[in-house]
Amino acid sequence: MNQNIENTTKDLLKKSLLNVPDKDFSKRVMEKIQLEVRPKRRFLSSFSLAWIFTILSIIIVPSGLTAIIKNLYPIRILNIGNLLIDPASISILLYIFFTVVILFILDGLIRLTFKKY
Amino acid sequence: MDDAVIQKVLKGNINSFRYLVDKYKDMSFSIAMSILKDEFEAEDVIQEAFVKAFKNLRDFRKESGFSTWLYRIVVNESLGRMRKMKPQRMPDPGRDEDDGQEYEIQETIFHLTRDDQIRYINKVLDMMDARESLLMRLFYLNESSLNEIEEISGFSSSNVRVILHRARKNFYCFLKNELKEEIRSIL
Repeated sequence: MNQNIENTTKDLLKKSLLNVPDKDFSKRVMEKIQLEVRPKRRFLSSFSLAWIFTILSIIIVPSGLTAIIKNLYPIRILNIGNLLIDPASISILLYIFFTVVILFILDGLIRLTFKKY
Repeated sequence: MDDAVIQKVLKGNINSFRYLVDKYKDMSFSIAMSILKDEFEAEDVIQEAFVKAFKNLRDFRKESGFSTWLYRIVVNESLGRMRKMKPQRMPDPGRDEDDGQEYEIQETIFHLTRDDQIRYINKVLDMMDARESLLMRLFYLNESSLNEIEEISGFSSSNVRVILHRARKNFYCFLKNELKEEIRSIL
């Protein structure tokens, strides 16, 4: 195609830019973005707290359990109602329960940590 | 400048994104209008496109310019919306193989006021096939290179050249039809 026609076509098409009708368009887009970001920010702060409390519970709960078991150590058998229970087996059950709960929580937290936002 | 703004946004200064919205909203709107031919839908689509661009800003690799990346999102969103819309029948530009028509039309259109020129040009682009008006705007208005057009539109290199050639022909055919009255009054 002739260069002259090409240039004129360009001159004509330069006039084909359309303006967004809504004068507040940018404002509306930014408001929508803020709405998208707000829950994410809230989620991220709760997420950090979740990590802190999980780590604290990993440290504190076993210490607490150990302290309770030490207190019960002199007692060979606990008599609760008509049931005779060995405190050692209770402590093992508690440790297993705690380990399972912590593993579930850690699994969830690790998945969320490596998820792309 | 865009890169600096993107870095600011990524560091948490969300309001800096407004600079990019202000800078690219009209071209994005023109692209969406080329495909959708509906102001309301086009505005809604580009709003979605800007939000999507913001959310995926971390994925922007800078292999191409921000505008190319953004316009690709606009095109994809527009095509997605077009599929949901009722198909529109495009008018036939007519088979006018007169190679000299461009000169005749140029003579006529430059006699019109700027506002009338804008009105006719946009009316013609609105009548044209979505792919053709999209490529016309990208190539002549945005002055995108053929590689950029390939990236934005997703068409192959040979397709871009073929569509662009046909689009130019059809643009002048439609314009000639629209300007018939004007031509008569001048002659």
